[in-house]
Amino acid sequence: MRIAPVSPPFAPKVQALFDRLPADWSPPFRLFTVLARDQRLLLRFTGSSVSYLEPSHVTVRQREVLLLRVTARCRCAYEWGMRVHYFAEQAGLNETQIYASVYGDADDPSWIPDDKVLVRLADELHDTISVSDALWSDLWAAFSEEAILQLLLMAGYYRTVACLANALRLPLEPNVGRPFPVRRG
Amino acid sequence: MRIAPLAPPYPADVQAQFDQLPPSWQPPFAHFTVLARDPRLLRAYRQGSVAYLNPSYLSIRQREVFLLRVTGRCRNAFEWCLRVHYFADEAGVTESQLHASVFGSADDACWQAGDRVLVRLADELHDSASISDALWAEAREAFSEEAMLQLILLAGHYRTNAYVSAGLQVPVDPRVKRPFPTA
Repeated sequence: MRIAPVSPPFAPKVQALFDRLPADWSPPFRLFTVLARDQRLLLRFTGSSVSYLEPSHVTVRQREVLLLRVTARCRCAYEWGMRVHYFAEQAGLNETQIYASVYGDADDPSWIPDDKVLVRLADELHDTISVSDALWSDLWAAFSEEAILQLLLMAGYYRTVACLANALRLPLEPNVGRPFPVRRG
Repeated sequence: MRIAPLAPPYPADVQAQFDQLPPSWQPPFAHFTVLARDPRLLRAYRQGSVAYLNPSYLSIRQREVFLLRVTGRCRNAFEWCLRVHYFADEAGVTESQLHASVFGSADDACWQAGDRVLVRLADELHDSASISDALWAEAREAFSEEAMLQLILLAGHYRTNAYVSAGLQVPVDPRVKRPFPTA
């Protein structure tokens, strides 16, 4: 790691945040403990996530297809692997789809029809930082306006996660991390 | 715009958030009024900016050179023009530097010595979502570890800003007089 994380005991506001995280996210990820070097950075970072709104404008399946693709396109195994660990089963993602999130494209036969527009959204934002008219019209047909706003913010947020993890050279988290699959012939 | 912003009068929880914005940002920018369709989205988005920490790890000059490059590389006319409008004079950014922030490179002769590493950081994060060993070593000579964290978070937030600008085709704010440069 290029910057050392903070070790416990944590500052009160940092500990209070960690106490609010799901029990199976403990001990806190290094993504969080490195930002805890300045609690303002950590609290703003965690406060700007819109992934776990309750109620949400998108389903767990929709969220995870988008985020696996966003993190894979950024070559961020750190976050991609944790999403697979925590959410792939709940999202109903099979191994072929998990593989396609890294090495396939939106036309991969493994996707169910509703997944494709999310893969295309991740790809267009990654490659062009824009949304074409054709993609917009497909998004519009599938999602509410608020859902589209949530998807745009999530795509940006997980790019931020990827930049942090990649630039800080965060190693995979023990037990819950998972490397990218080996590419097949 | 592809999604209509909220128009006043705003719901109480939205108005309360807008009341926290600086007076010179009134009326609120289109990013804020469109995200206000769900106040949770607006609140999260506003939280995501670490541009105005006080105290900050970055000078205004450093912040603005970096963010002009981040927004310039994204061709995010909406935010680039706002930054020029509000901060270019205070940051001492010249006309040739403004043009270079969109169409130049880190080697452009117009930059001050301290600017170049910021342009390169913005470029590497834009192009690779990472920072190379050579650039990390150079950047750490100029910046603390906390400043590096702030810079990475800034690059990420303003990329998110670009996704809103481009995804929704948000027009340049009418109060901005200066257009986005052309090649």
